[in-house]
Amino acid sequence: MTEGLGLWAYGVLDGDVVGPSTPLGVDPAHEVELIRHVGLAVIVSPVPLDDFGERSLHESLEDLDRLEILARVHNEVLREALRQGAVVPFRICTIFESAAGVKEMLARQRSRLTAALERLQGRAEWGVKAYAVGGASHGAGGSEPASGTDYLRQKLADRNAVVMTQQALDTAVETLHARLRERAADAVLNPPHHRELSGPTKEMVLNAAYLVADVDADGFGALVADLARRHRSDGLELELTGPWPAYNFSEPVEP
Amino acid sequence: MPAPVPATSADSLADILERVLDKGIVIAGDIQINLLDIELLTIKLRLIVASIDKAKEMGIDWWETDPALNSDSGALARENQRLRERLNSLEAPRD
Repeated sequence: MTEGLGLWAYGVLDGDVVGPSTPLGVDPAHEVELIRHVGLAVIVSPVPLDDFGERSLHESLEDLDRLEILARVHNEVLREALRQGAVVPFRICTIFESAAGVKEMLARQRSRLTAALERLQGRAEWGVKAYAVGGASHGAGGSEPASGTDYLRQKLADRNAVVMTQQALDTAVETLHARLRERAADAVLNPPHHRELSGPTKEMVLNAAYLVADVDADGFGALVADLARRHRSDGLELELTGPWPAYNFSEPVEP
Repeated sequence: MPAPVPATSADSLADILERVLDKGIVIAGDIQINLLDIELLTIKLRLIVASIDKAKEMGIDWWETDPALNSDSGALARENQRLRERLNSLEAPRD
């Protein structure tokens, strides 16, 4: 290892994999490589410690442009690795001082990592988001109120209509999630993105991740398309993303 | 041949950040980054739209159709006109 270089670790694969198809790492001067030990392999790439020390990293993470590059490259390397088989993704900024440190970690975490890999074998993460489009409808509109009482009555009717719509929406989202979960080995519900990211005409009402068998990936995609058609009349719009490295399913679980 | 992986370079930054910052297995490396700080950062990122350019890259362009933010749209002017007419009719002397 050259002086002043550390190793950015992306994730863990089975030790039998051939190796990544040499994309560039988070530091574009260096390609990614594999460090093998105890039947496992870690994808790493060298990074200059001047730029990737604790203090510099904190500054990088506060800079959205730099953070975007780190995040996209980290994700891209893992997505490339996913072609070869299961991969346990690390959270970004997992950095080691030397290959010896990586091997020591592998030996220490072997059973946890092996269990996580076994769980992910032949599966990938798919993201499904649902948006309520156009917001709840505010009553039927129509006639102008003839009197103050009439106006209040109409207001009340509008409010009830909104409440009903909200209930119908919740039911639709629950149904949707239940159907998708049935088809998956596991599912995780994440908080919907903030309104400012989706805009005033669209509200994210479901932000879920599903662990889906690779052999059923097409079937899962078809199910999402089918559900999108069915729920269009509920004012729901669906978005499918993936396959992702299994970020949401990377911890081993009890069988 | 490995299974084809569709190109997802168009994945939204929000989707990627949510995963690489918040999820993924946590392994203690030799260089310690305070994860609490990173979680705070994530919350901050969820709340901000960093800049108009960044937001556009992320596919966020709703202000272009939001009448309150777009003087080209006639929607706000029409709404004002409607309210003004309503006010006038309410203030008009009753029979």
